[in-house]
Amino acid sequence: MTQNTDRRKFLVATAAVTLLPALPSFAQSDEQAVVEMLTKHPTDSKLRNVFFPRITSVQAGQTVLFKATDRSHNSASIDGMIPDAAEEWDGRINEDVEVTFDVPGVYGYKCTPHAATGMVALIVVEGEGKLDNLEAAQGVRQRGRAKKVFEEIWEEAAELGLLEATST
Amino acid sequence: MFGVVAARADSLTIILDRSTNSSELYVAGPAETLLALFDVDRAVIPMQDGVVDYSAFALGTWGIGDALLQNTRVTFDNAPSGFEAMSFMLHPSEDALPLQTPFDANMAIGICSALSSPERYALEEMTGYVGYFSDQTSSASTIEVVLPSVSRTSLNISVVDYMQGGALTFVRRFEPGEPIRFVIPPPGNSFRLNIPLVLLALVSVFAAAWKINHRSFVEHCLRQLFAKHHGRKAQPTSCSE
Repeated sequence: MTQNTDRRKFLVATAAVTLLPALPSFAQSDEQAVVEMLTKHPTDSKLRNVFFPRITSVQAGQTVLFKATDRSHNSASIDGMIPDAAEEWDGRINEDVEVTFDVPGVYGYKCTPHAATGMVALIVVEGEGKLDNLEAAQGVRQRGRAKKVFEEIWEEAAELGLLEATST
Repeated sequence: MFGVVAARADSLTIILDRSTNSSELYVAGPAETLLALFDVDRAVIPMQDGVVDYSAFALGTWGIGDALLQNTRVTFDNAPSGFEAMSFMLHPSEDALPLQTPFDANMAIGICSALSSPERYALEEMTGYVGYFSDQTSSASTIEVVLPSVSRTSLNISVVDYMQGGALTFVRRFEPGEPIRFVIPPPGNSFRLNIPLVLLALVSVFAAAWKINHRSFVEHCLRQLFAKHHGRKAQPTSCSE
């Protein structure tokens, strides 16, 4: 019985350790969110050139650190995929970059040299009017594998409730 | 319309990845051969002082990939494939990368640490890798590839056709002067063609084996009967041993 309980605890702990890194990031308002720029996905060895996590939810006014964990990557906003009032950003390759998101909305971003191979991701900034630019962002034409990845991202974000006006 | 291919190299590798909602195509070969076969001027590759200028790759290289494909026709069941370039990359030929699966190919086309490496190479020393994506499925399509060139020397194009559950590999050889055009059949066709042939071959083998054994058995019985009738000892046969 003790052995079974121990085994169950072990399995639960293992599952938690395995699954938690795969979940989108939901940063609390008092902490900085971190997105890693990776050449190899940490849990799926078949995925290369990724932002991790690829969906991040923050509160308006929060900062996201794009961490250059692996080489040859950067983070840059995608034209047409950020709110009108928001500022674009374009990080340098191989360098960390911090971006503060003051305007609620959805923000599509990319790694400049790897965008067409699917290295794109999404930040949802919670707050009043966060869905105002959703349609415009979803309408931006993507190149190459970014089409497929963004389809997955939009679907995943919707499943997580991030694309509902009431989500917080 | 047809360019002439320089006689330096004679092989290309093509990897096709068919999924249910998209298709990916990867092409690899010596850089100069690629440019010649796709009839593209070498000026499309950023160079500085005779070596490849990797710094220009930092903005993405799909423009080079698109340029490579602009004179080439790739169709799914005679309709445009919709392929557009994901990335193009050059690696030193002396350090050839593994290139057997779509995963290998995807790794090879990625802009890598070469951006910040001090090593520089001339185009002749490089192998080019280019990848294309289409949001159209080709899982049941006949794919035709027509390059805008003829080969001045013999050319082998290795095609690895990935589909759900496995891969088919074949090599298409082109003789000097032959237009470079080839067809990749839909995956199902291979099975429709091969499975009946395999079944037919198996049935034939079993039938032949049965017939041989059956004949031996009849022969054995006749021998026994003949020996008994004539009072001789029967000779052992393979059937009775």
